[in-house]
Amino acid sequence: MKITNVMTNTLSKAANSNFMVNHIKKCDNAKFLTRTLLLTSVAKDVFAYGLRVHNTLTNDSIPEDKKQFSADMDMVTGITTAVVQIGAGFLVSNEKLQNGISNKLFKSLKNDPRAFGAAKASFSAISTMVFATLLAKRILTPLIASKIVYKKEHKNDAQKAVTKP
Amino acid sequence: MRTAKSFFQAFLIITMRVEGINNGTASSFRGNTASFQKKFANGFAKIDGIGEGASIAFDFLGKALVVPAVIMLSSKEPKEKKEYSAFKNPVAAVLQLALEVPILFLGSAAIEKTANKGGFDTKTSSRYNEKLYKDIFTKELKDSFKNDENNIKQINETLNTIDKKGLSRKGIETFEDLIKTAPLNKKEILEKTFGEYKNAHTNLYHLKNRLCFAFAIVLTPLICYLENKFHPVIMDKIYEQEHKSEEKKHPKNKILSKISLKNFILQTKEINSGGAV
Repeated sequence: MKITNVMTNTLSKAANSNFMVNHIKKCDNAKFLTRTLLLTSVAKDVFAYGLRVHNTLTNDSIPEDKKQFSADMDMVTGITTAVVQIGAGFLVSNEKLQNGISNKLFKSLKNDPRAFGAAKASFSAISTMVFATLLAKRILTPLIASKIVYKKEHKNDAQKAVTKP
Repeated sequence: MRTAKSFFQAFLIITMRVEGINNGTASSFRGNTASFQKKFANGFAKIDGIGEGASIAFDFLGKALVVPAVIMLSSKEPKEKKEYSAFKNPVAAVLQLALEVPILFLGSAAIEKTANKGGFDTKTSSRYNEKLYKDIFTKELKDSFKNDENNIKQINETLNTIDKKGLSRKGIETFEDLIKTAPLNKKEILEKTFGEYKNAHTNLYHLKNRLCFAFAIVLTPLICYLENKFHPVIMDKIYEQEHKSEEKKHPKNKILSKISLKNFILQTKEINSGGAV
């Protein structure tokens, strides 16, 4: 019972803090809301990849020959995913771009401002997530990251070949 | 920068195609396109509440399916090495889904219940207490239409749906339309109380999303720990299966497999020393 009260009080303090109240007020704006969703997703990723690098390097059950590659892949992926997702998400959620696309795609709703606004807000959030969390994060990021890691792994190959008797 | 440019070009191509289709000469084709466009637009207008849930769903799809495929297709490392790194993602995706989804649902329900009981109310504000504002509004609404049976029936039906599914975009539209037909002396109070109800609903919705995000961050070390523990075990199982199926495809000759250099030397020694064969 006491634990529940402590939790409720802590959450209530967080919920009524100036930061949270101001943040929630700003969420009325579709662009701000979309970008918040994007940044929370990026924050989770960066934190998780950082932990993964540490865990992989200290995990003795992972074979030595695969350990470094796996850790490098995680580190480069973590950095690349943040850059690529923020870049793609901010570009797609750009107001001018969203207005232009919505005006063309939702022409039929022009006479109903309520439905037009709703469709525009949904499209903004979904298109940003598709571009940022599916295309940029899941296709571009591994493509870029695997190239970087391959280059790193084989940086000294040519030198080794020359020095071999 | 090039990536940004290509995204922009892709979007322009899509919109230009839609425009191009609209300007086509075949009227039936144009009719079909217009109808498709209308359905597409209405579909987007009906989508409600894109938040942490949608974010988790997109993340799962990408991690479980897209990343392994891209690593396997793009990396030039040996197959086994690539597999080891690629399969980490579906393992992580399943663990993440198994832990985050219950947290999202149970956490959301708990936050909503607490907020509606006044757990987040302060002396000066009840900004998250949706039930409080809903009750005030519905009392005013029913009072305004007390002599109109049809509207009272519609109000009750909408309230039943809201009790089951929460305040949806359709529910908002129904109430807004009802307020428009309300008696003049009641319009102002109805607009005010409905505005407060909508605000409390939105505030609570965003609060749930932000708190669930905070829970997800707290949960991340546990997800990574489990992923780290299960990933090598799962990969060992996969390789074990692969070796077994490889052996089934190319079985070794049973007689040949029994012959070994060590046995041959031992038996020769025994023969030479006069032992039994």
